[in-house]
Amino acid sequence: MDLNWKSAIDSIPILNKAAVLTLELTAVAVAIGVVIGLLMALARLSKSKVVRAAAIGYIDFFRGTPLLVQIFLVYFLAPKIFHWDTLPNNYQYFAGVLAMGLNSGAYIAEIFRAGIQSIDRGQSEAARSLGMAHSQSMRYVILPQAFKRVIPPLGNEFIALLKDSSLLSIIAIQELFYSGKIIVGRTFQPIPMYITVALYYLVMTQLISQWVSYMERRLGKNDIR
Amino acid sequence: MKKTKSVRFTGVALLLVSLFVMTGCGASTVSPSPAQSEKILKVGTDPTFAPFEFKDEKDQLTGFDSDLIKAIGEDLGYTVKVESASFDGLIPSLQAGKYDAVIAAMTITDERAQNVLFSDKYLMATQYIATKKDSKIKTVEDLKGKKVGVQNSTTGQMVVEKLGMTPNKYDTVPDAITDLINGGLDAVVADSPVVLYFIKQNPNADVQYIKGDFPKEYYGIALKLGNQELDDKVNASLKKLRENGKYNEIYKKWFNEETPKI
Amino acid sequence: MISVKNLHKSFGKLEVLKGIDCQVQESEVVVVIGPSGSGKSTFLRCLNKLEEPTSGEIIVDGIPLDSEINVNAIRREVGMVFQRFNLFPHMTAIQNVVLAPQIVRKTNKAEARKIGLELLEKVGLSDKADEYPDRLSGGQQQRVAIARALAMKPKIMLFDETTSALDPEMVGEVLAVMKDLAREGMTMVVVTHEMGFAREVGDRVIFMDEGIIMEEGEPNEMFAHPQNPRTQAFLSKIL
Repeated sequence: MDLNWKSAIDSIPILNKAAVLTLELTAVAVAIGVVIGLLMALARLSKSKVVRAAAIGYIDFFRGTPLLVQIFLVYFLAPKIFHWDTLPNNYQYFAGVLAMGLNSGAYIAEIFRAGIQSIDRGQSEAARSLGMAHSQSMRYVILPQAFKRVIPPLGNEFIALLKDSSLLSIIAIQELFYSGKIIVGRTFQPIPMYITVALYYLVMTQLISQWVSYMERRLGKNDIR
Repeated sequence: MKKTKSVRFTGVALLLVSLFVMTGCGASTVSPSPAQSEKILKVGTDPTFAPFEFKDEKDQLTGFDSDLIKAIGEDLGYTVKVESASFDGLIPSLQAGKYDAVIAAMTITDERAQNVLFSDKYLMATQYIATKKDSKIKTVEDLKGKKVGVQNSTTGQMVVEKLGMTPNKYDTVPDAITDLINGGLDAVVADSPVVLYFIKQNPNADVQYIKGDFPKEYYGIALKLGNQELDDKVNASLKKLRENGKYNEIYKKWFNEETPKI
Repeated sequence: MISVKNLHKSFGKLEVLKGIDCQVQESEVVVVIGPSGSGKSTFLRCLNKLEEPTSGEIIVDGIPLDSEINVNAIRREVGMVFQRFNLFPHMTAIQNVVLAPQIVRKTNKAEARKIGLELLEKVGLSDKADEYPDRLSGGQQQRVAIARALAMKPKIMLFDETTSALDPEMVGEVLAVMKDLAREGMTMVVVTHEMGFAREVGDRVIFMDEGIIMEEGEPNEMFAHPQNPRTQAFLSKIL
């Protein structure tokens, strides 16, 4: 079969749009993941056994099952949970972002936990010895230091999720990969298209990792002890 | 001091912005269905099935099915909104109430008819066998013992399984044909118009087709079980479009010939 | 001020404190000495419940350390200075000092800053108020840590080998601050290896070994005439 690169080049406007959507979906999912991850990390380090067990259960489930399965589960389960008889417009975006957010929440919880635990014990001892409650010591002393340390692993999680967002094609979210697939459905030129799609992902992940290492350098300045 | 502060503010700002985006997105995706006065027909399809439904260079849905459902919608006074899904996800989504109708070159079968309500047939097709040009496969019987590809959940899969074979199931027909060209398959069984369209679009490709003698099959628009009211309307409209020549116009546009008698 | 009765502490199977009884009076400076591993730091850390005692009774300023609420109340009244400073690295010197008064005592910002600057002045670092800890020498960091503890206006100060991690030339500046505090009448419990400091400032010296108090007494008397053979052996090595 002749490779027809024109079909791929003509598709650039469509792919640009899809790349932006891919970034948006990932950003929203990571934002949800950061909120869930912080709560789960704190729950994971809680004194209460029940709270800890709940957090461990959540983290193990979402890290121990495939994202693809989770996407389907959320997609088919959410309407039952929210008691929707008819589904809202563009429901798949809601389900897709929710599934990715829940998934990244589990990974980010472990990132935060490692970040919190990497802070020297002396820091919380100093805070507690000044009469701060556990929550105050977390908020003012531990978390601000932990946040700096989790920037690089958070960046990596963002990149991993950006790539995994291609799985959303399975519920017909027209992100980058599914856009490519649809175009192939018209042009029957899979090779040029998927090479182009791969390049799009590569450029995005490269830019993000550059930005992360820039942030890391900037934030690292005050972290020498 | 300034440095850390500004960095921390950036972080907080980023988080806030993303939360806004989140809630913003949530609001737009979960917005309630518009009021009844503006009648909307939500239609699901799999836009990887040229020439029936695919997306053009401007990312707009096009194809025979797309034109037909728009004509029906216009006739019935509906605004047609088409959403995409993979073919095997269409019927579950229809059942879940995500769509009012599915138009996706879907063959009317007894099995499917137990899960959805079909309109009157709107097109006749059959299964063709696509092979490489030097292939020794000449008849349906020759398929036996060969590696055959189909699109998942399609009638192509059903007829091959009826031969007592297990086909390789692909997400889309182009995926299967690409594998055929690459040598991963000996043949692909798919809806005749799709095979013909592929060969028309790729005259240099090492692909030919064999008519075989698979049974004729008919496409129908799938509706939710029990939605007799919409079924009646759609059937009336189909009849009207056939009579006033609109159907023939669409047919000629996509298949370059007059509507055959079905 | 502090009353400790039959204090025991074990880490797993290892018993570190084997029954400590001790009283500290108001304005008294008690210096705790002993070989490493003798349990003196653990004892000190029990006094503000950074370590959970296995058994025994501790009463600080009339409040028993037996509930979460009491513990937080006690910690507000008991300042602690650590061997490794434990300054908050993401905050400037002044921010380190004013954090606890602001969020624990709810002192308003201007007032807290005023107190904070006074305390930094007191430890001789008013010019370093806006520096981050990594820009300060060890001695300076430890002085900030003392100012930070004092900002809570504690009634008692605990010092846990506060000069052990310092380069020798910086030990003096930290000890000077501690001497000033003692002179002002602060109640202090000091774990240290600085025998000069013990002799000069201490009202009483406690010698600990193997998890118990072996001997205690007035510093000059004890350094001159140690009674317990263990004390004799220890002092002969370091004096």
